[in-house]
Amino acid sequence: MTGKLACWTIVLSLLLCLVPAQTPGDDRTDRPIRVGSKKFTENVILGEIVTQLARSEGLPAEHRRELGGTRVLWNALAGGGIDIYPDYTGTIQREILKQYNLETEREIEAKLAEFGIRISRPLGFNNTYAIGMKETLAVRLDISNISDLRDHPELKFGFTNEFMDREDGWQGLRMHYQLPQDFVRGLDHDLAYRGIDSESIHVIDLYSTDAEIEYYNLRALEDDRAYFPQYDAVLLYREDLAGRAPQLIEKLEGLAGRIPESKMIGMNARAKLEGIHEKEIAAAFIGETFGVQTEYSREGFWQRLGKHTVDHLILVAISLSAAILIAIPLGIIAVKSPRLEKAIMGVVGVIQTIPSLALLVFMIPLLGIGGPPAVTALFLYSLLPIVRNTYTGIRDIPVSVNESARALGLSPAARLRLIELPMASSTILAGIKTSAVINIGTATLGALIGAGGYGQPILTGIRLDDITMILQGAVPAAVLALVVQGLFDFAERFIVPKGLRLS
Amino acid sequence: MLLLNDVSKSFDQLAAVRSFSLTVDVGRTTVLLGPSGCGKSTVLRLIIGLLPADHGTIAFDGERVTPEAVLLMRRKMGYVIQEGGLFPHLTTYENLTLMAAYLGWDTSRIKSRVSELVELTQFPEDALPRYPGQLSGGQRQRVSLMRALMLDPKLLLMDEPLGALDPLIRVDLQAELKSIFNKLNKTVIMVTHDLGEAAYLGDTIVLMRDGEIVQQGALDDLVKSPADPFVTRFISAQRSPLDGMTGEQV
Repeated sequence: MTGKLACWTIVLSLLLCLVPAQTPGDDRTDRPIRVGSKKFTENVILGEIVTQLARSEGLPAEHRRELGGTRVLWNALAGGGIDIYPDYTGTIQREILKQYNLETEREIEAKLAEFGIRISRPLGFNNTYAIGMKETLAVRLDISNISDLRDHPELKFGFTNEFMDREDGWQGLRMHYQLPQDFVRGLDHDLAYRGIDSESIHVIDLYSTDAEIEYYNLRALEDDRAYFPQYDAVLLYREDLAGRAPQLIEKLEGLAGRIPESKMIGMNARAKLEGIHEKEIAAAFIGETFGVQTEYSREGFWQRLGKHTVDHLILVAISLSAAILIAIPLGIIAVKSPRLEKAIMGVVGVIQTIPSLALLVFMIPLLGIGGPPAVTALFLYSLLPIVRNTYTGIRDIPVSVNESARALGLSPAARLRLIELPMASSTILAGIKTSAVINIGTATLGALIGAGGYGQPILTGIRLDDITMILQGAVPAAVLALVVQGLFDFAERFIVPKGLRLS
Repeated sequence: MLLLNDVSKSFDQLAAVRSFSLTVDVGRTTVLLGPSGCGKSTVLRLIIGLLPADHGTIAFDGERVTPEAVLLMRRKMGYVIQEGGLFPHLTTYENLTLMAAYLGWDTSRIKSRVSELVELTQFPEDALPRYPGQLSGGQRQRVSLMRALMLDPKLLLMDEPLGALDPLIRVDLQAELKSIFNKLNKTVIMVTHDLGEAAYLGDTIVLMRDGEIVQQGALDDLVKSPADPFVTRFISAQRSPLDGMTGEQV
């Protein structure tokens, strides 16, 4: 009986793994061109420009915007989840290919080719990292070079999480300049600007093309010991894209040198300070540069909400249903087989301790980006509460009841169906409810790997410092959690036998 | 009918039942009597296969009780325990008929069997749709007994069936049980620690201590020719405070 159940569980799990695994590898030539972008405004604008240019060439294209960082995009590009995305030469050299210690452009190009990746000519601007502080504070402390920071160990530093970890980031900078500061925190880039404005931190990392530098009246400190490399903006794309869409590659090479620094800062300012949509900014740029009128659709509030709701519901529904189908049998096996109990509870417990963002990123090499990896991560995340509650629900059935059922002569399968599952139903349902609520909340992180959902407006809102936009994701997510909880409370009346609800 | 031959069972090296041999004849009521922890409940659980014996054989109705055969054998045995062991998620009626429905009895057969049992145990018929949580302690034990009798088993095993009831109800139910046993003429093995109950209901008393049989026979035999000083001690300990009273009233 336990053996049969174990077999079925394994078969189901395998099936589940196969289904999404098929999607990222498809090499159909008619599939849309997938453009990726990092989760900061400049990169989103560049991604939007590429997307609209592709469409103007009559190619179907989709923009996976605001993905969660360099690693996510690089893995997606190498794995075929996206075809093209904007990056920066310094990032490629010092971060993506850091272990090869490459120096020249030619070496970098050759190494990228080994991965099946090509690099475009520079787009025209250098968006280097810089270290910045408020102009007023800099004047007061007489700081103009990064070296000057050595004399002010009391200053509080707040850097983006990526900068904290990167090879060309904080660790290197600290050693290069022998900086003494103790207070160094990692935080979101867009929140850092608000932090420095309110003086809760004093020094942050900047992208030199950020529009906020001027807006918040910040001083970019001189890199007097030449620590930061060039960060020329380029496009990275898959070799096969050149075969599939040669006309697009030609067009994109036409972008070389067409975006000078002042232009990029201007576009960033329009998006971040004037609240103009990236699609509109990209279309205006293409109109000026190529004299081409591109079409872009701007969805209304309800249309956007509808799309995010559908995306979110799909993520939650698939991952939660699969979790229920697998977790209940796993819980049953854990009760019935003391041999497997430790293994099951151990593995499921360990999965739960992996931070949700890390779990999402782990999925990318296996399943690419978008829905499948997000669904798989959410599925894994939803297992523990259901497995544990199924296990406890059945194990806590009183011995006298259990023995009576055996003494009647019910077969193990009949006992499970007629006695154990109905008696554990309320506990199991409570586990499913917990899973559903966790799932709905965690699914907002899916936007970081291109799965859409309510996380999308949250990401955009953080990026643009737009509270209304954040609420457009946060409020529906909370409402959805309440609705789902209500639905389960309602379902409880039909699923949990009346006799158990008496006391 | 039931044969236990040299049966032993230990838990963690601790012997619960030792070299236990017993023959139970059809239609007789045998009472396993002894202080708590003497292994009498373990004997019942060995018979119905809730525990496997470490050693020795048990044969029921001419067939050996083995893990493979026990599932079908259990359907010819009824088992009543102290707490009743009723299924809280099922109504009284569903508790009674669960097994019959599982075995595919048709509805009219199930209904007529339930009416017989309700009459036999004087269970209030209007309480059949109630859940165990809505019944009194005495009613719950009646349901437990009816459930055990539903498939008309050849052997009825009862483990302290009245142990959890208060004394007045207990005396009433003892009388009822006696009349039910007489009507049904079933083979019964009952476990109790109460000498009065044993004497009142049992044809044969099997007195146990530390997993072994000390003496078996009618109460008179135990009183008049005790096999061991323990027999006299056990009997007098239960009788002395109520000297002069008969077992029926204890």
